[in-house]
Amino acid sequence: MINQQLNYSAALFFAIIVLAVAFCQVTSKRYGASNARVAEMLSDKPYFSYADLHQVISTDTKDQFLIVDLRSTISFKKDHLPGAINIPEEDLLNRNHRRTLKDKKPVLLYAAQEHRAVAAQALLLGMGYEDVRIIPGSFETIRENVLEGFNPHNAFYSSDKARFDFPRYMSVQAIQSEGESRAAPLMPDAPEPNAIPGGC
Amino acid sequence: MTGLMFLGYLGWVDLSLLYVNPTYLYSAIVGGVIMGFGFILGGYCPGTSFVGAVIGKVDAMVFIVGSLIGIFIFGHFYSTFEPVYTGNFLGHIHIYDSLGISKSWFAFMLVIVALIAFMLTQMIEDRVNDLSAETIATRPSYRLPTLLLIAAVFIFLFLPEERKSRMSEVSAEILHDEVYGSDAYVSVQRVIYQVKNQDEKLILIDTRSPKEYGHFSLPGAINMTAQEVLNRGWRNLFRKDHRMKVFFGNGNSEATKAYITARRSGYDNVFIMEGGLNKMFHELFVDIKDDRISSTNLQERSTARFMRDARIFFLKGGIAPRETEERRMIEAPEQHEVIPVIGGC
Repeated sequence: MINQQLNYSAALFFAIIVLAVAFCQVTSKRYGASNARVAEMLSDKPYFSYADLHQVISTDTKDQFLIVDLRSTISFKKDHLPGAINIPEEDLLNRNHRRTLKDKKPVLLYAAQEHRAVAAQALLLGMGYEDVRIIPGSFETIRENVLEGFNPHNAFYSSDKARFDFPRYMSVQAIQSEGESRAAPLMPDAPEPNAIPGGC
Repeated sequence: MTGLMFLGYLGWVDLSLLYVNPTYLYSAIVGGVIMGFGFILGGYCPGTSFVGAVIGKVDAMVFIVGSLIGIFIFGHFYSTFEPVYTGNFLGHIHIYDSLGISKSWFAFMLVIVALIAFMLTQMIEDRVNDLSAETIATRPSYRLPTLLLIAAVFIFLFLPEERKSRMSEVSAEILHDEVYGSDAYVSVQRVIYQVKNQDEKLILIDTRSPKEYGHFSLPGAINMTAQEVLNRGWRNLFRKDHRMKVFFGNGNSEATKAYITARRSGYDNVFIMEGGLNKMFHELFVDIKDDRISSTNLQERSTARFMRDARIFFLKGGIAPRETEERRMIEAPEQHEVIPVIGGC
């Protein structure tokens, strides 16, 4: 009698575990990397600066990278970076590009606008590719600053840099001082976890 | 261990919050030796000695007095013992990391070893106690639970250490469509309009670095860089589903990172301010279209008027003094102090 109960409860626990795991497998979104990992990699991966790109192009070491042009096929045919391949951004998640991207080379992305390349980078990192970086700026700025003669002034160009001295235009002094006090709770001095070490 | 591993895998328990006792090699060895001697000589472990004392066993009471003397000696001469006590600190380490095997393999082997050990001790016990074959046969058998336990750990061998995605997450296809479509963006004009009218629905989130944020930010904006989006403290902010959470940076890139991270973890009603601050300032102060205020095209005319009014408004700093308590209430994220669970014996 006891034995039967024991067996039943063990079988019940086992069934619950199996069902829960199966449920997790069915409902997972088939990402290749967890969201926290992607967020971490997005902040880690520095942009592939124009200085680096210029060096790659001038020393002709571009076979070490897989340069991907995310613009439409038409604009790609007009002009593109030497050695680039074209994956239009609407086809980014298609399965047939997987083999090209799995080439073990670092992937460099550029697009018509910088944030489109960033989005592609985030999506590819989420799919599980490890080494994906972006070339900042649009193709036009790349052409101006790298292809048609390297412009050292813009060696670390990014369209995400401030183009104005903002406070000169807008007077929001009151907010500003308040802003600093507000930023404070973001970085709390990690309090020592005051747990009580127990023991036997 | 098996249960915890499964709970961790299913996402119900955050294993990183479990407290692991730090390893001090010397004190572990010395203490272990003393404790081993004490156990065998005294016949009690600290817990059982108190129980024994309560039911009136004299040897347990003597054991407790002895352990109190030991505590006193240790406390009194702590400064002498300290180098040994804190010597060779190895940190919070797990044995599977030191052995270089995966957690699931370690669990599997540990379970097998433990089961074999139980079986052997049972056999030894039976032989020592000289039980009759009949009592052994009528005893409950653990065969099925044992098999199921082995099967469960075996399943775990084929599961990844950490799940890559959760049920609440949004699929990559949807993210792709939103970012490359227009669903993710709100225009600069709309944000200006809402800021001007102190729209309670709007939550501006500055994704730039804290340094840039301290230098200048939009009125009422809070600072959250793209990698901070997943912080636990911000969950309550994102759960205010009816409010528009608008990410902005200098350009679009940082805001896009924040947007994708937030959307993927299932937060709704988040947007990117298209073009960021650069575009906003360009439209407000550089690309001035005041000549079109008398244009015959209705839309051009009203847009030009709106932008002119907005410019005057911002130049006067019209928003700053009217910042209210309500806005500030959004800012302070609830700090969930994470207290690791410390286990006992």
